[in-house]
Amino acid sequence: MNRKHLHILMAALALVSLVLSACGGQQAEPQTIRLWIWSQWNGKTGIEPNGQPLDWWNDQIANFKASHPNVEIEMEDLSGQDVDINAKYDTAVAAGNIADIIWVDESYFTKYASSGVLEPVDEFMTAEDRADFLPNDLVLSRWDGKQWFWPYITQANHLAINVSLFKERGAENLLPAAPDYAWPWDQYAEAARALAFDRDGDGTTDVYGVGFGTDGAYTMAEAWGDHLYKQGDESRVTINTQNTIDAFHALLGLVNDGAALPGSGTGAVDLDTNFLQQRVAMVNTWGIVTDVETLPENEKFELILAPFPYGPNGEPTVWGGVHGLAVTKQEDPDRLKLVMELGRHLTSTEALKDVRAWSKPARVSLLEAQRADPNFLYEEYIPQFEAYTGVLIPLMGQGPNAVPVLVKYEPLIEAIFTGDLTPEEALGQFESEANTILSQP
Amino acid sequence: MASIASPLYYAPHRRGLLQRVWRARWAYAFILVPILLFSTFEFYPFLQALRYSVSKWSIVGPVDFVGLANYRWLASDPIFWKALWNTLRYGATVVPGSLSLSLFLAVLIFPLARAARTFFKMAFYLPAVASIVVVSLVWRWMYQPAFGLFNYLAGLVGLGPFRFLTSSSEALPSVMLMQIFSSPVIGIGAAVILLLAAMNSIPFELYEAAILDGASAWQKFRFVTFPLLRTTLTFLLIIGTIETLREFTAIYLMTSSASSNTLTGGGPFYSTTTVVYYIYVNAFLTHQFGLAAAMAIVLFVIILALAVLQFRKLNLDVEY
Repeated sequence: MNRKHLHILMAALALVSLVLSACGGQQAEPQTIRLWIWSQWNGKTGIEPNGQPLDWWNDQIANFKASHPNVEIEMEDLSGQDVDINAKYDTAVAAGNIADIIWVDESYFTKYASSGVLEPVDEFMTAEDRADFLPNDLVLSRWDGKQWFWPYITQANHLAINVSLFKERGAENLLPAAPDYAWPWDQYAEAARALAFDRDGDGTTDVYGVGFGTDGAYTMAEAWGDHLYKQGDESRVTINTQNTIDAFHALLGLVNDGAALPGSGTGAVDLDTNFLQQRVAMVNTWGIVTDVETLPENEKFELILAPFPYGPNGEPTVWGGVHGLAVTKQEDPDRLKLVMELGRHLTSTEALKDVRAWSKPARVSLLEAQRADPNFLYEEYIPQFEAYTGVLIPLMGQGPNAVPVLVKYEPLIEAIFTGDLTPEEALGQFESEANTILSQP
Repeated sequence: MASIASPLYYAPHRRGLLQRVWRARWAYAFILVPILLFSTFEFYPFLQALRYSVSKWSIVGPVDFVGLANYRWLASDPIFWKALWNTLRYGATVVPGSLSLSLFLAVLIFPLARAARTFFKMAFYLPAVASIVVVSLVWRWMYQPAFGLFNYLAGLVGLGPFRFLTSSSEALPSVMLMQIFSSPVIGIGAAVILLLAAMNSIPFELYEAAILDGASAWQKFRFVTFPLLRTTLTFLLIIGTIETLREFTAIYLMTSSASSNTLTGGGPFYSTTTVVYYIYVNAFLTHQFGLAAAMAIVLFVIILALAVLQFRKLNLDVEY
């Protein structure tokens, strides 16, 4: 082989190796996915004695990376109030560096969905997924005809009831009964008055029958028949009705009779601590089971969960919520597919099936896995969870104006319980202000 | 004499300025860093706030110029006026209240023996060391209308029960009281320390002269102590005014729900909503950043005017 042939051969070899290495490089290019989450339990299963908040997340990320070795995942735990988490998202969106997958809930996601920040998940959600998610969770994660995130926790503002106090007062007959734990207002009010008592005879009330925050008050009012919005129509509020006025007068009656924890109806009343210290028999809560079950043995009490009582023209109601993982806008279709795969994996039955915390799952299969486990600590709460999640309503709406409208609503509801406004005045003022907001482009 | 080729050869007035700058070049080099930091993190954001105050912006969309529409909206927004009134009332109560009490305590503590003085200084300053977050939450618990410590103590002397943070008339005074006793900036703790230090620097000969003239304790305070504390008091007044008019943390922690999904604090029924809290609501709850920026500019102008007024009227040199 002469020199000329050798040069040609070397050039050809170099060209071939260049082409081959380019192909190999595309397949091996590392991808980094940024993940912002809100850790809801400690440990991999949620019940280990020394479990840490990110154990489960780290475990699932490792599982995902085992099948995707060229993927790096950077995770940040945003545990805290959802209002503040969304303030962080606002700043990140403005700066152009929001994470690829973010924790969301039903309150705020529409703002980001309507602004093009999020990717819809429909294309990646299989028929099995849809059949497995609790129906209300799909409703709460849907806007403008599309699903916008992968649900993984079903939230609800519901009643927590201290059964031990009912037994102490001989009032078990007033408790709501299985299977639906639905109860009418009169029964609830009678229970509230019966459970407000002076235990030590010093003339002061030691235990109150009920305690409710501002959100508990307006959720209970919705169980009297009318809602903030008519279903499917968030162009105006429809809560200023006689049913709702009657509901607030009934709640005021409990306050005036001394059956309700002082401060009920306002934002500053502390419900959880008073309930855990058995100073109030019934409170509205977004989740208190774990707190009750982890009390010291000598402080534990029997607990049931129930929907809010229904008024004469209403039905059992809880304010439904859902937590999930949303995928933010991705430029590359292959990357979108990869990020969606991670989002789906982290909310899948496979990933969550061993969790034994009171995790309020969004999938039927996960409820079944927990129910089938004879050692599941919270097994008795599953029927109650199913009962109250069956009557979820998307109370605050899902449009982009849902939060601004609620921001107007809450102070006016407080004003009812501070005596600054009557229910008629508060609801009238709210209707005017809310519809002004909703009528703006 | 610099040659025409020298960089120091300029027209006479320019040569003077540049020479002065050149002579002080190290000073300028050292202050360049804080100026850059100030410009980047204070002045530039201020300019942006001015820009947003005349715009409509929800952080995820474009910035649309709307002229003075935000300011006109504020002028007609009853909640903004309520927030402004709450803020001014808050400042007008907390600052004089804190300063009066601090001065009274300092006058009581000053004559004590050194060990006793140290003990009381530590005792009053200790709450100021704790995080305002912790202090706010503890006070929130003490204010609980049922089972809270304050109503328990009130009940022992036949008073109450009070509703404190759950009453629209009692909520703001409740927060004010907490700030007077526990705030690390405007509370009595820091003020007592500063006033005692200032009192320590008053020449004892002035008191001797007053005693020789037959001055009573009140006259000594009025004609010797108080005038010579004026600079410190002016400083505390200005700093306290600025801090109280920017109040947010205590309001947020003491009035927002700890156990529910209630979005809004600053209640009940806007009774504790301050301007800064209302800025937070408009920015991060309703995403009206233009409106929030306009409020911030209005607050800035008010604070600036008050600070200048206080500085000019109160900061008079006193000499004996």
